[in-house]
Amino acid sequence: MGFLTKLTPKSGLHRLPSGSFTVDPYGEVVSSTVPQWVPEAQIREIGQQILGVFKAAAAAHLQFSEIKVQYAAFKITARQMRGGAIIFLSPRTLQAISLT
Amino acid sequence: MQNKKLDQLITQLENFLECWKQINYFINLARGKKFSAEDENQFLEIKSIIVQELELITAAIQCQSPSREDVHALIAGAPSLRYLGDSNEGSLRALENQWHKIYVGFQSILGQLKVKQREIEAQSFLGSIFKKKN
Repeated sequence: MGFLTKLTPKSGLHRLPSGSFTVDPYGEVVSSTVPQWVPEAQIREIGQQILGVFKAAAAAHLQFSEIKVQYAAFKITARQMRGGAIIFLSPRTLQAISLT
Repeated sequence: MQNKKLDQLITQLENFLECWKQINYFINLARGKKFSAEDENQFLEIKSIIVQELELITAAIQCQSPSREDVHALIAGAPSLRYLGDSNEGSLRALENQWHKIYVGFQSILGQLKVKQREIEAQSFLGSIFKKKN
């Protein structure tokens, strides 16, 4: 899941997005607080990947309702919501990143 | 209302209700006083989504109860998890009670929309039968 490479624009430097969005069971984004400069297709892709993980877990009879994907500078937390999901995107500040 | 628009509205309201359920999760988190800075951020995000979703819903349907003001009052009464954690049990119960009242109110609206959806589906089904006969 190369989320970070997908979120980094090819031209120009942007901050990593912060916000949250919800997806329905079909992977369509229903509501979002993610800034508009983040391409909708990328948001949808993250949502679909997350739903894919939840579905695969359900198929494997693994009971979990929350996923945390943690990068050095970015964190994605997703919580299942009746087939859909709410996904939180949170860039980590320099102070929060441990250098050890 | 067209069937497609109604379907969209039902999806929107279902999504809103799922987010609304999350509020209750956070109230309980605050009650247990076991929350992190990340939980605090997520609580803020949930409230943002709820307030934005509410505007989309109220633009499509006029609901007297629960009103937009009821939802806003509850959101305004829960500025942060830290604030809720410092509140006494009585205040938390009052908040929970208000949350539940709104939850039931929106479930009722969702039910009404589903009734309408069935009516439209039945009409279009009957319509297609009569068209075939003619």
